Amino acid sequence: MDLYDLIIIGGGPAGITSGIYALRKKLKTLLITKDFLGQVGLTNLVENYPGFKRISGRELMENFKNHLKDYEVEIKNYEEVEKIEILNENFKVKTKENEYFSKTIIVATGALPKRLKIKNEEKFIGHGISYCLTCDERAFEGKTVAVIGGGNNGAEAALELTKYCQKIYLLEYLNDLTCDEILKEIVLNSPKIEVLTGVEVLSFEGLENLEKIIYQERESQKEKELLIDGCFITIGTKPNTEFLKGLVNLNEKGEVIVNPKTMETSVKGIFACGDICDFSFKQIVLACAQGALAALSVYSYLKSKN
Amino acid sequence: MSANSKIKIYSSPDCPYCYLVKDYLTQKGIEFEEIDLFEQPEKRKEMEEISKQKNIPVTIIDEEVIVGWNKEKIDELLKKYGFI
Repeated sequence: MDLYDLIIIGGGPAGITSGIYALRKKLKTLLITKDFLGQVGLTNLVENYPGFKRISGRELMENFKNHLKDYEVEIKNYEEVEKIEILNENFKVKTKENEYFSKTIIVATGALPKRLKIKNEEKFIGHGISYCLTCDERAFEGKTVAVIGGGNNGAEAALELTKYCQKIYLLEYLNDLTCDEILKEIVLNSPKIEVLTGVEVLSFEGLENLEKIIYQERESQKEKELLIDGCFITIGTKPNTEFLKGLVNLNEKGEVIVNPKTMETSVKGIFACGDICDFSFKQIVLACAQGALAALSVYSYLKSKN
Repeated sequence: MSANSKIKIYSSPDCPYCYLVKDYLTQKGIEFEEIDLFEQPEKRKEMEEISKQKNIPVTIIDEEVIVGWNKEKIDELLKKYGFI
């Protein structure tokens, strides 16, 4: 049985940073990931990661990955972890293809885009609805589109779409956009973007393709419709922690509860970092910091056991 | 692989899921034809007719269509048509 000091699950900023820190401590490390894309790879533009004024999410992920590969690291790419089992003092990590064994685990499986779960959402995926701006924005050249979700991702999406679309509606459930003030100012000054706040989207309608959004103004309770050709949904994420249920303690949102000083979970030897953790703010720089902290804590934990 | 089997991917340079499909096949040493919709926007209509929808990536393995990044489905069709 090949026993690793550390298995890292996840190839986003948190997992990669923990890998870099662990390898610098000469820990025998395996990184298993379903891909090296994560949410950052889906992001059009990153403007708040120090050292890079403006960089595409894909390019930043390539930089992270190449930095990791500078060390002698073992990587299993395109493998998804299905289960972690506790074996006396060690752990067994099962993927569809293989089984691996380790003294410690860092889980950094990130988060997945949320769906609205409203009428006809599934029906119009690929027929006007998309969750991937950088994949599908050009399908709507010269058209009218809606972006649902007024956080940073939604605001960035709306601004990016001004390059191709004639009109963009930005819809937010709360009474104010929740994006950074600097983005809000640009969005509100864009002649192509119309912002609708305090609205709840009720359904998508159309024949074969998406034709309109039905929404309700939350204060007046009035139902209204918007005629559109396409819609991008950016309403946040949910943690990718299904496979951890029953193993470590999760909060009501499914986030992993960790000790913020060490990133250790409720199970000794299992650590977590990045967007799966129970912290209010989800940022690339915070995920990296947590990844570093988790790896350093693993190192201390292994030292204390020897 | 049967003599006529081939793989075609409709993609665009900024599309992250297109990158995953291409990287996955490359990692397996499997050749494919890429149709870049940024370079050839006139091919979008063809892609929409074949896949009966608008989103990319669209991967054609032999005659079967996969929309989006779906590793399980890609593996299934690669096996079915003898690529792996």
